[in-house]
Amino acid sequence: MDEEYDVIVLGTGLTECILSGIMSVNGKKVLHMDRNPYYGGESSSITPLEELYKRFSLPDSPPESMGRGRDWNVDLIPKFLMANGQLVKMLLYTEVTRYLDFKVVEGSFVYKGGKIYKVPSTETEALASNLMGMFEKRRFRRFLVFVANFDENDPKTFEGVDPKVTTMRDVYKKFDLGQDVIDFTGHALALYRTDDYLDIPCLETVNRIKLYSESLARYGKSPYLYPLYGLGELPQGFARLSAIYGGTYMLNKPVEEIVMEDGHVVGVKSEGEVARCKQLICDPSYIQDRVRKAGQVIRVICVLSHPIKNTNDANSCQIIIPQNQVNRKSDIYVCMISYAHNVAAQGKYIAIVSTTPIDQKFVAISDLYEPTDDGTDSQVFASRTYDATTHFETTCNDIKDIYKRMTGSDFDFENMKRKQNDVFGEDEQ
Amino acid sequence: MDPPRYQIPRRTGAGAGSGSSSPAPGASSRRRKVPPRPADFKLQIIIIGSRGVGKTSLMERFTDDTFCEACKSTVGVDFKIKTVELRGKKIRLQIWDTAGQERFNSITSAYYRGAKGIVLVYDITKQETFEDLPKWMKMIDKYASEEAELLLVGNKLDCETDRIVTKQQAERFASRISGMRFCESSAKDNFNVEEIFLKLVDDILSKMPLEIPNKDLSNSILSLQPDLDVPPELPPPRMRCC
Repeated sequence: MDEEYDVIVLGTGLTECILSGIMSVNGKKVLHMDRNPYYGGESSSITPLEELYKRFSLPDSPPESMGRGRDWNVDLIPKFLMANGQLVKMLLYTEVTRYLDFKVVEGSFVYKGGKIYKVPSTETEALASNLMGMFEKRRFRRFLVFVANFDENDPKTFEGVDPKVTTMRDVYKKFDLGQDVIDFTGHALALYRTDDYLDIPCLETVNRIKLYSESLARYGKSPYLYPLYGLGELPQGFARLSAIYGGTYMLNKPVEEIVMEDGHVVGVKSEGEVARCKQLICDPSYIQDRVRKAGQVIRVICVLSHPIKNTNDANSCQIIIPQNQVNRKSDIYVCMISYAHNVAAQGKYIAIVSTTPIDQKFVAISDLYEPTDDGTDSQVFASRTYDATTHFETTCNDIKDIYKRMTGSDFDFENMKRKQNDVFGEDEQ
Repeated sequence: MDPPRYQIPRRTGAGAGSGSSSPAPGASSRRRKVPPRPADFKLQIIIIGSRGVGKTSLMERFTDDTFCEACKSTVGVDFKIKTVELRGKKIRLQIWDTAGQERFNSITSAYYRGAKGIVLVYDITKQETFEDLPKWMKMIDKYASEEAELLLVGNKLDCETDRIVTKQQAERFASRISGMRFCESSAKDNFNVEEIFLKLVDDILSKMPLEIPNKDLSNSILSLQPDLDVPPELPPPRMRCC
């Protein structure tokens, strides 16, 4: 450990592992440590089931009905990948896809007036859907065509809307959309958790709807992908990338101190030794004095022995409960996955956030942290805690932002490509 | 030694080599001119063991027929591919390296996942590498598929004069683990290397049903990774009105 590194990374969460991979691929000497004996930090999947029981301080061990403990990989943070989103792009550019297998999530549902409705994923489903009336569907279709054709770089597609000025509320008015359609669009397509977006310029919303449609178009059933064996496989894949390009990995490494000199980081002290570095990346748990609390998230993990009612027996799905349906400040999301994804024993389902009836539930309230220091002077770059959104776009935005703060250049996906050949033997076949 | 009973396409050693430093930007540079007959099976094999026992050397002896005495910790190798013919089938072996993560006991659990065969290596001249074996077995028990074939290899047989771990000790260890075979080898002298990999593959094949589609997973599983003949770009999304 008594060496000099370009970058030291603390914590092996997804954000840190992706950044570690980018740094190593670009020739930086990286030391990556984690105080835990496992990869993933807050974005890990807990295995075996006994560990989950222990973590949530349940007094007894899992009953026999839960099957084999080692068949379980339970995510601490529920998220899906948007099929056309940034994380999938990162996976493709870095070829970390080599280490992963995915399944398409079977459907997305939205709660309305006491029932759940499928978010249509095909023309047929849209026509048959009870989510909106016949005439509304026609107006909605015109709106969707507008969004699909909209190109922020081509004013010919604007149709009188200024993406940087016109509010979404006004765009809805332009297309004469009723409240039902507005609620559905904002919460089930643009995936906003509140209605604050209505009064800001529409560009962000239009892009979010485009992301949803494009992701849906890839595989048809839903816009979401989920990795077999749980989300914890993702940080491990990027960590391997980093290791292949020279990154040094140390789990089970307690971090005593981040050593600063003249206001900037010079190294990390662990078990009596100091490793020196020019820059430091870490998750908020390693530097409590440089982060502030930005909110809270409540997560409830539920284990079921059956699929959720009215989801057509889906073995994976998302259910959106819009805030105004249940009189809350923000939407509630339910992410459901199952044995079909190698995350639970045969016949078992995991729904994260509440649902009934349930076998067992685990409740966690997490604080969300963001850095107070952008790292310009200290060269300490803290990531943000994984938030309550249902996918990884905000995680990727954090990664891109940290990259810019560290290197001074804008992030470019090209920087993630593996710089040399690391697979051998194909040409000779 | 008996002459090999298997047909193995012999390479002239001018292959991709080990730890290539040519700056080829990823998969898009490796385009084959003539598409070969596709393999009947694709098998993933991982090599496990403590630092310095010869994991990479064994792999490179098998895939490239090369040996590098001075080479230290492996950097720059994800996996190596070798195609062999066994039992009349063409098998594409994907042999994964640890990427050096064993140095501080930080191999990912994901590394063990898809492996059909696991080669567990120790150094016959270093007692501690043999004493580390239970630690590796613990990881294998925890994360590897129960169907994975296990092969214990005592490497560095060329250093017989410095031997510390006896054959009997290792045989006793292997006998306690159901289905684990044991061999000794030398990557340096190219002794028993090909044989052990082929034996492992043969064991795997003998357990598999006769006809298996190339992807022995259900249709609903996506690997996202494009075929090697296709450049790794996102295909343009087809617009569909929801």
